[in-house]
Amino acid sequence: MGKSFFILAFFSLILAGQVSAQAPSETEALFKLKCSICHTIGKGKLIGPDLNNVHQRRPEDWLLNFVRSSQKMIQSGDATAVALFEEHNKVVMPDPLISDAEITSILSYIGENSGAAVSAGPVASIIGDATPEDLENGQNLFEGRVRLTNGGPACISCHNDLSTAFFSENSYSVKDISQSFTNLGEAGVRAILENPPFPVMKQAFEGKLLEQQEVHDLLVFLKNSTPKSTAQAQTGLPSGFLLYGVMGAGALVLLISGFWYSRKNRSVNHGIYKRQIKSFN
Amino acid sequence: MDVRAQISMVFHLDKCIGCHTCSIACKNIWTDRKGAEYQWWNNVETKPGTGYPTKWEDQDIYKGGWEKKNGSIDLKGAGKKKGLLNIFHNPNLPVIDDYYEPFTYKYLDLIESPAMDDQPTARPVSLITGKPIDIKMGPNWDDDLSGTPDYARKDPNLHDLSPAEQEAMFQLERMAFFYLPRICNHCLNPACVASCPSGAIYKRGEDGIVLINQKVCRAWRMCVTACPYKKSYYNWHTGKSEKCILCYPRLEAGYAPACMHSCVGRIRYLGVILYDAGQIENAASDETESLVDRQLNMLLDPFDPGVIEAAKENGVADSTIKAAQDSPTYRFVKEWGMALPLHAEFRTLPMLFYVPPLLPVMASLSKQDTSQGEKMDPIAKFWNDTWLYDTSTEDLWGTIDQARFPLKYMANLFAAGDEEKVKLVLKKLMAVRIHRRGITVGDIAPEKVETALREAGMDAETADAIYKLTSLAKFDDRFVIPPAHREQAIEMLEFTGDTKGSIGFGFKENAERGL
Repeated sequence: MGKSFFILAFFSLILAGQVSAQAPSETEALFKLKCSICHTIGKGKLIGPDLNNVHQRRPEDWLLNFVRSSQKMIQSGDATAVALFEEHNKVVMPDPLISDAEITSILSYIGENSGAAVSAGPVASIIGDATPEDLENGQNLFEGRVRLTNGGPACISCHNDLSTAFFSENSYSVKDISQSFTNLGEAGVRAILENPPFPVMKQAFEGKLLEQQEVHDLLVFLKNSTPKSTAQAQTGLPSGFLLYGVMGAGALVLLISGFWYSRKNRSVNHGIYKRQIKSFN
Repeated sequence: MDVRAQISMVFHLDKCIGCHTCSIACKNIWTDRKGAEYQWWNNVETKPGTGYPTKWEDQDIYKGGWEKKNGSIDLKGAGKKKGLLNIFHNPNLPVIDDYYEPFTYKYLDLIESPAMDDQPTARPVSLITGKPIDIKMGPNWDDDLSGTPDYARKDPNLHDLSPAEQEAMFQLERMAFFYLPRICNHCLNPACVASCPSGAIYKRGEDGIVLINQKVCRAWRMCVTACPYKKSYYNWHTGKSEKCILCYPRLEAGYAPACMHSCVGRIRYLGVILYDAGQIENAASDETESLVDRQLNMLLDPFDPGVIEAAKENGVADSTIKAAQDSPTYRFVKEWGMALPLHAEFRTLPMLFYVPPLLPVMASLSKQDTSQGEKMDPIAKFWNDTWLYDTSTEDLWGTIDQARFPLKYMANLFAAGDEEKVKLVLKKLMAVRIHRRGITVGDIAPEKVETALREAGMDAETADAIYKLTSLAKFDDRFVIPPAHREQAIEMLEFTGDTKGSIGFGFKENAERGL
């Protein structure tokens, strides 16, 4: 009996140890897979907000709904959701496509790992020492002139249109990434490049993740190409635009009239005919 | 020496009576067609007057002819650079109102009118629109100084006459005018040829006639702008430009051009002149004062063995050289120095020369006396005095200077502003008259005749020759037309043996049959 109890207890221990060791790691993996690209817990804002103590800031129902589909909530007009969306440059949070139980476990995982201290410092930049070669290499990688080491598709195969962004219910895609740096910052773009969160992109880079140097070069290229985008945001008319336009048109008219000043612009007999008609009347 | 042959013309203005027969002859043959109604390849203008098209001589308006530039010459209104700046646009083109809107009358209304109390009228209708119009202008609207001061007083040739001189010209009792018949000048340096972007205009090698190839013309109308004499016209119906062809089909058949053939006053002469084509650019680029001399210097003596040899080398036919030796125009222009080109300052080297008229100069005002005005008969409105028309020959050369027609005006027309040239020609004309009067009437002392001839630089024989060619010349003296040698021209292009035994020869197109 004692012996069997011992054995049972041993196995129980092992099992219990396995269970207790396995349960948090599964949730943690899920968090890393689905969330950590955009969010941190207590390490500052990436693309999305820092989730430190999020369970205290928002009701659980709200969190559950938001994680399930943030876009549905935004479309239904939830004030908090809309405000968040606006605050984070309208970057759409993709639906994670996981069960409610998993969401709940992730939320509790966040609660367990939340701490008091929030490090507000930004993630260190890795592109400060960029050279023109990096920029060129980045462009070549982007355009597919140079293949990605691990066989991933060139960026341009999807991000080829600099004017549209579209998403559907199950897949989300931004064709135009010309504003990516403005919207996401280096840390955000880097996170996406290192571990693509978006369904289509994620599938495309499954097992073909970018090398660190490639990430670096692409970051350099994206940063430099942002201000040159053809679809730059309208910043309003420059001051005096209308005035200069009118003045320029006036100057042009003067120039043309000066150039054509001596041209023959009416019949030589015009004056005679005019006078004849006048005297006839 | 690049000797070429040019058919040139001389118009003796002293004999022109302004009857417009030449214009009508030309119109009947060549321009009595749709689109050509307004064209007068030959027209007769009254001078002073604004002419047709109005103020054609004012190149500030029409930008015709050449202008001196960097030691050479450049077209005033066309050319590569100006063409590029004005591409697809020809801003200095005369419009139909600068000519006139051609019209006819509804004559049928006169014939078909029913019996009425009033006479039927024939309304004028436009030949362009076919609708009734009020006639505002015609091709000789200012004929015989008619019309308002809008016309004669705005003659561009008056530009450097003082206001007093201009005023004097138009005082009723001093008023004078003469006629200026004009056709294409068939210039040695034609601006129309140079301006044509399509290369449709060419100067015929054998006789220098300037022609527009109707199959190549692309309606750019640059020639209309470029010709300072406005003798290239645009046919709005065919979409091609047309100009005087010097009746080349008639010339090739040995006939004089229609305008010359029909001339009532027999003012026109036509003949070949040999010239040195190598001098064209230099002569046309010279200073304005020397343009006339440079042009006359280009004309070669057809009796000079060197010239004959060079001409033969250049392919000028013997018969053409013979025609040049008999040419009445060579005698007037070169031998006697009595004919001058019209507006040499346009730098096109025109080959139509004018003998300036003496007649308006002859009667002159020798006395200025305003009190004479009181002598006018208040009812009959005539002057009971003879002082107005002083036709005495006492102080002859003095009277030419005080002529009713300022010499400057004539010089602006015929000598690029050089009064001395015109004066010399007038002296020659006068000397011939004095000489002939001395012979036929005998009321002039031989010494006086001698003096007149000496001052004009001629002898009695020359004066007689001038008199004969001026007054007694027969048809064959006035028109010395060289054989056209079409057989040679065609042999360059076709083998004539192919058609040997066939009917005729020449460039032939199939006849169009039916309507």
